[in-house]
Amino acid sequence: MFFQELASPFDRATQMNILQERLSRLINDVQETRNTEFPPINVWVSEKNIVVVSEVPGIEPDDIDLAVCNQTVTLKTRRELLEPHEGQTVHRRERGHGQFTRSIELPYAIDAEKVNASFSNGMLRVEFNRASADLPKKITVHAS
Amino acid sequence: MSSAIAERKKEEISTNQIGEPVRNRRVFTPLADIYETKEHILILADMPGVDEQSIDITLEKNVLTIQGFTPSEMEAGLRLVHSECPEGNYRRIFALTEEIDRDGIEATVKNGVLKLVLPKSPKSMARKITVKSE
Repeated sequence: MFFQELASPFDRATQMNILQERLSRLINDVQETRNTEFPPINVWVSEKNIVVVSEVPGIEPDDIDLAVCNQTVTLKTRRELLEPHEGQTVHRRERGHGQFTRSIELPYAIDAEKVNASFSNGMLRVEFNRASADLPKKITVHAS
Repeated sequence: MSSAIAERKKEEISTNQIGEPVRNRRVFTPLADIYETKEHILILADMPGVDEQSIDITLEKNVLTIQGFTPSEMEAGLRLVHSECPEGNYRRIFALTEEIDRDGIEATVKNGVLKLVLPKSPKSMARKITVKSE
């Protein structure tokens, strides 16, 4: 189907644009799956609630700044580097350090009053409930 | 944007070299920092989801193996729509060059970070020789 579209006798320039768009989308998708952003986030969704799980090793719960604005959740955190001691040699430094900020958009409106955040063993788990006004309503069909 | 970017990500390792696992689970290399002082070697490893019960450290000759087992992350009734941190266990093997005082090894886990202090054995410590004048 893809090649059929390319071979169709339409405007060449438009076709090239479509092709370019598809290619860039392919490349962007790859970048998304190999995200090196810190902290990495998993999002679990059902019709009524959303669970956001994030790996934040080495961060104290007090250093986690979590904010919700409309449908956007912002996670701000910082991780300190081990303070250097005298006569200490560094062989490897792979773990990231500094200040980190991430924002993600939730798939639907949530109730900001009913957010449940927990932290254990370097894993942050935040549970959101869908706003009652946003819940899908069942419509009964009456036979006429 | 973050001021310092975590350039490296935990990477999946091929388990073939170490032996086949019973359960088909992914195994990742935890990111680690290694520091050395005159008295000890300090290893910090990021292992989110691991507690003191689910960590396994072995030192055989000069090969140090760190293993961490994480609980399943499945959320009942929910489906995963975006995934950046796939679940899996951790394993990393280090070859140590210096003699380690095995009895003095200290391992602690806090907030998903393993801190391993490996004291150097006294005989391998550099000794300062004072030169006396005759």
